[in-house]
Amino acid sequence: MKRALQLFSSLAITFGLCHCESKSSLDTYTKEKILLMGNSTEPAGLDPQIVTGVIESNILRAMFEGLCLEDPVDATIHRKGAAVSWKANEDFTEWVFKLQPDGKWSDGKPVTAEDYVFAYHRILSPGFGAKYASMLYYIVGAEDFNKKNNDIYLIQNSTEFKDRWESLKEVNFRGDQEIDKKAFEAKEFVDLDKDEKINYIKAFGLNQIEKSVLSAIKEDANLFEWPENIDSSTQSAILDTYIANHGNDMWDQANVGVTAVDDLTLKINLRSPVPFLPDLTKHYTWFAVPKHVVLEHGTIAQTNTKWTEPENLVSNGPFKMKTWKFNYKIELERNPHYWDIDNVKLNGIIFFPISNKYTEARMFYNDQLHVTYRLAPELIEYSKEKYPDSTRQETYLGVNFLRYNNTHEALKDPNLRKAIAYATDSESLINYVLKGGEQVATGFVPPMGKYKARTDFSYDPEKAKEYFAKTKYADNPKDLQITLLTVDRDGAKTDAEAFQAMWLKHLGINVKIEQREWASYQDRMSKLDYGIVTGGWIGDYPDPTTFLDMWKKGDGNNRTGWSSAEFETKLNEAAVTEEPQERIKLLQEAEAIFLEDMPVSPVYWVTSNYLLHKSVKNWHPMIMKNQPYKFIDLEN
Amino acid sequence: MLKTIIERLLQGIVVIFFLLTLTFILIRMIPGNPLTDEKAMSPQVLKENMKIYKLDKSYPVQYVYYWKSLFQGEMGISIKKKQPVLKIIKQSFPVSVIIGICGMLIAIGIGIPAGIIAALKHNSLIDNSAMLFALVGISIPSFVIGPLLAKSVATNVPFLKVAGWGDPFDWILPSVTLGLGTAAYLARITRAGMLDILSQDFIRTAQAKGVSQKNIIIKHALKGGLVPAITFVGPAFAMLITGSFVVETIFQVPGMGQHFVNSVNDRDYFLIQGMVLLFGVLIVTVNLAADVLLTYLNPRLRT
Amino acid sequence: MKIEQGNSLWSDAWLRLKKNRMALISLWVLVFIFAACFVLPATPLIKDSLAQNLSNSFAPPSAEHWLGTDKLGRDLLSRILNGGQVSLLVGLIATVISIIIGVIYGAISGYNGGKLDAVMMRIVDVLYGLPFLILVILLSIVISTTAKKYESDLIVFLPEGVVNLMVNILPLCLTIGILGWYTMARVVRSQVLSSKKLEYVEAAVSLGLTHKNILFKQILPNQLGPIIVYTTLTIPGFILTEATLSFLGVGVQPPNSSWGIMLNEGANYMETKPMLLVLPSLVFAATLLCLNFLGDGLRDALDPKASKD
Repeated sequence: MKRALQLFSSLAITFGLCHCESKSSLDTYTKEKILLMGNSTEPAGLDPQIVTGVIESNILRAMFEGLCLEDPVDATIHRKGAAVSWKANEDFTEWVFKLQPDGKWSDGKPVTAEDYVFAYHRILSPGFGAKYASMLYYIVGAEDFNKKNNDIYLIQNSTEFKDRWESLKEVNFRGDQEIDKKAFEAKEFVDLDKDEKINYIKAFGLNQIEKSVLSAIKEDANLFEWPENIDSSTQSAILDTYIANHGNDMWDQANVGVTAVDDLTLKINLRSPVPFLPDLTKHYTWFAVPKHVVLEHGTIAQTNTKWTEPENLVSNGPFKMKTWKFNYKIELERNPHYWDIDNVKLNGIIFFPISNKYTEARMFYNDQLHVTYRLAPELIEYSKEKYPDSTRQETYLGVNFLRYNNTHEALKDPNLRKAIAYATDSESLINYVLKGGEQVATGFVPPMGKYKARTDFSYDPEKAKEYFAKTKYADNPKDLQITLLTVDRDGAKTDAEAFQAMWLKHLGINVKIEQREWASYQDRMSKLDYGIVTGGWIGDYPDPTTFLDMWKKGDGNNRTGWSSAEFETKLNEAAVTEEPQERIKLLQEAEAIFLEDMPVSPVYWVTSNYLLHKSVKNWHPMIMKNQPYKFIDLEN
Repeated sequence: MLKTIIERLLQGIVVIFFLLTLTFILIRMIPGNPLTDEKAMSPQVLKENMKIYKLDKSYPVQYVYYWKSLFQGEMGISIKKKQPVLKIIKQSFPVSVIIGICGMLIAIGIGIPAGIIAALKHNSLIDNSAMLFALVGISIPSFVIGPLLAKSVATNVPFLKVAGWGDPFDWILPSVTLGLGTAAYLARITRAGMLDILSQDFIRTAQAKGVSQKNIIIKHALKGGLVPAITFVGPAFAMLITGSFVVETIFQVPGMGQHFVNSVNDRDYFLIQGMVLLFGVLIVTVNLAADVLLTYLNPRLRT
Repeated sequence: MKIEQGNSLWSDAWLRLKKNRMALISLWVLVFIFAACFVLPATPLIKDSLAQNLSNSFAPPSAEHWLGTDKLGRDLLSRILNGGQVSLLVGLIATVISIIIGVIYGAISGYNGGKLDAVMMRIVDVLYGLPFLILVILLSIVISTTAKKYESDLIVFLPEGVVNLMVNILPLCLTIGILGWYTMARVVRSQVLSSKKLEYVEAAVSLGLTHKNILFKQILPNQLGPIIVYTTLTIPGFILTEATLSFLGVGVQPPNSSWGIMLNEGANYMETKPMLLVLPSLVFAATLLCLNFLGDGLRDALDPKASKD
């Protein structure tokens, strides 16, 4: 017994000594120049054309490089990236990019313009199902190609039909947005009864329906509502064309405005002036993917192939994939084929998916991380006191707001919405609850570059009461039944409780808080099954349109039931205006219309609070938090 | 005995079948679907994605597809992670097993002796303090114990980290946090079971016959006294292995517990089904083992 | 000569319980806590637990707020008391539900043995294997939506507080109770199985007593020991389950609070404002301690064979 004890204790001591090292392991990683980053959760994937989140973007930016690259200090500067130079025509509707002559993929093969054409073809392919394809809609023909508006290629521009287009354009090619498509989700076409079939075809239109359905119409013309002036032989001809071309890739016919002039020259044609195209190319949706690798593992429009598996993944950025252990870590190492590898300081990056923000903070305080993804509000003051050099608080391009269900019986009255909006004390929320240095939002679009934030809106309980007096609940506020939907993340509950108390105090109304987990929350929002819901939006690129386009009718991110023709007219006008000042003016007017109606009410503009170890060099505050890893260094 | 085991195994297979079927139905009944995401999709894109995962087909068709792929050794793809479910399980299962076993060892190592001693010294100071200690395990939740341990112990002991999964030393804190709750339960249940047995006549007979206290415990009391404890160990072990979500998030352990919770939140159908299958197999196996052990210990249980 | 009156099992038990000091103290403490949580908030002594004052968040104890305030400036003492209402109710009601289901199920299964037992236990295996979370989300959505349908009817003849409880808390109790009876069933089953072979049971059978009588009047009362102990373990377990569920968004809705929620939030403030964790934990732990000592006392009191002779 005694000997066993002795043996055990000597073993323990040896172990202990050996691992004394691991306490200061951060120093080791710093010396070896491997950056340790907290990255919130596991990425949903690493295919630049499939993913949609900030988390994935953090990793993708290290492995891939866009045509232009962010400057670590000044967001208005566009550095050379995969492209060595670029030039636009007078009205910014055509850009020509010259690629790096030494640009290579991590397997040594050269990066060519064809890779870009391939990538854009891929992300816009209707069968591919890219959630973010709309980022490329600026390109000529992109939206039509992606939305499968085959009528343009098969009928309107075809040799056979283009003379008759005037009489044919009434045909229901594109379906009817108003019809609720949910009814068809569960059943196959053949199982529907006659009326349902007619509805189905009406809802989807000739462009979207399957081959079998096209044939069914051929057999029974009553299934489809043809306009009067079209005779049956034309009907047949149209259907035959559709049947013959069904499932074909329309890329060539679509003439999408991206061309590989030669191996190193890429030409992009845009449907409206886009002076900020270099900014767009920094976004991962505009990255190229290695055509030869993707095609090795599947066809162009096949998603979820094995090409993104760690052993297959090939990229063109400063780093390449080394290992991916699920929910554990993602390790990147230097890419020796990167054209500028000599200027890259880091030797590797390890991303940890730490979902619990308190664990992450603890790991940082215990010298296990260089950077955290965020910092919990409860710890901000504490951090500032104890670790003043490491606690960062920076503006982040985003807005936190309250979404109102504009179709809700009570909330469709703008007076009620405004009453609630003006009764919201953002400042107190920021000072006492959030404590993250957020800014009170006086408009929706946060200030960015030349776009000054609007100041139409502020906390004003008197005004709130005035608006409330105009609603039908003025005399009996207790009758008002609204739910405030919130999610179980990130202090949303606290915010909701604070809002509830504010509105009770100033207006006498008692909203009911319903807290749901993420999937239910998203689902209910999409179904417009809520009264008020807390929400936020981080900008995808530094232009006001990223905050305004989503409010167009039918946009998947709208989810309020609001739309305004006047608003959209202004946006469309701005889209074709090339003079920057003029354009900004139009966008401001659009925002003014938006704020006047108040389908949503802004609460605060976001700041990013996180922890950064002092050994990390060349990491500067960036409004979109897209620090380029290439320039980062680690030094004790 | 062998016959019973085989019978139980067959029953187990039927159980797993029903388990999977029931899960299959239930998860499709809750609101939300695997393709809900932060940036909303157009209906067109949604349709394409649904086709890829065969979600556009009717439920019975999806059901058949699932069994087909299971027999081919495939468990489907996690829609959220875009990785095969089997691969995810292969990576996270060993981690959970380690924590599960360590946690169980701690639970058994602390809980059962504590329960036995407490029963032997019934109503004494030792009994009360042991039970008090056991209570700490149950009345302070793991999301409090974990961070407390992390902060106070890990920051002061050189080779322990507050979180992470690198070397065997990282196994300690998560297992302790996980095992403490179970230890407390085991202590209580063991004590109750032992007290019951010790009060029975055959024990008195043995005492009267002059059998030593030690022999009474080991030869006579333990077998019966541990019955409730072992009934509990079975499912407790399976639950430990599938891990505690809380412990995994606090200590950054790449185990299966988080898949359990996250897959439901994400409505990640195939991953949920994979987790359920695994859990089902575990539960059936472990319950069977526990029952076999029980029958061996206590012939009266043989039906 | 005084004739000793025969005592029933229960009055005997009560006498024995009274002799157990720890149990008695626990009983009184529990009564005190219950009273504090359910009666005090109705008095003007305790402030409104919902009244926020953002600028006064995290205030230290003062004359106005005896225990200080929380992150939204709400009175901490009243939050603890009101939270206690929810936690205690959830613990009790859910436990009662799970005992009823579990004991009946386990007893029937164990008593019958054979094929019925096998099928019933396999059903439990299946239920065990179902991912808890899925059932919780499903059940709580289903139950709360049905509850909400009747809310407006109930408001007519019941006070608002009671209706609030029924609509917001009862579904949670049902969910937890319905999902928590399995182990109880297994424990009861193995107890009943093993006692089936005991002599007093054989005696009862030969006496011609009905199965129902044997099961409920002979076997079960003898098994009360482990059942009670397990019950006292279940109540705090359910209170903890409630906290986890709230954490996941399917539990008690804000701004109601419960001890579980307060512990959760307090844990976040561990470094900065420990009182937010310590104070609710103390009350929580005290309640559990007392429940357990009381349970032990009951166990000892009800089991005549366990008395020290």
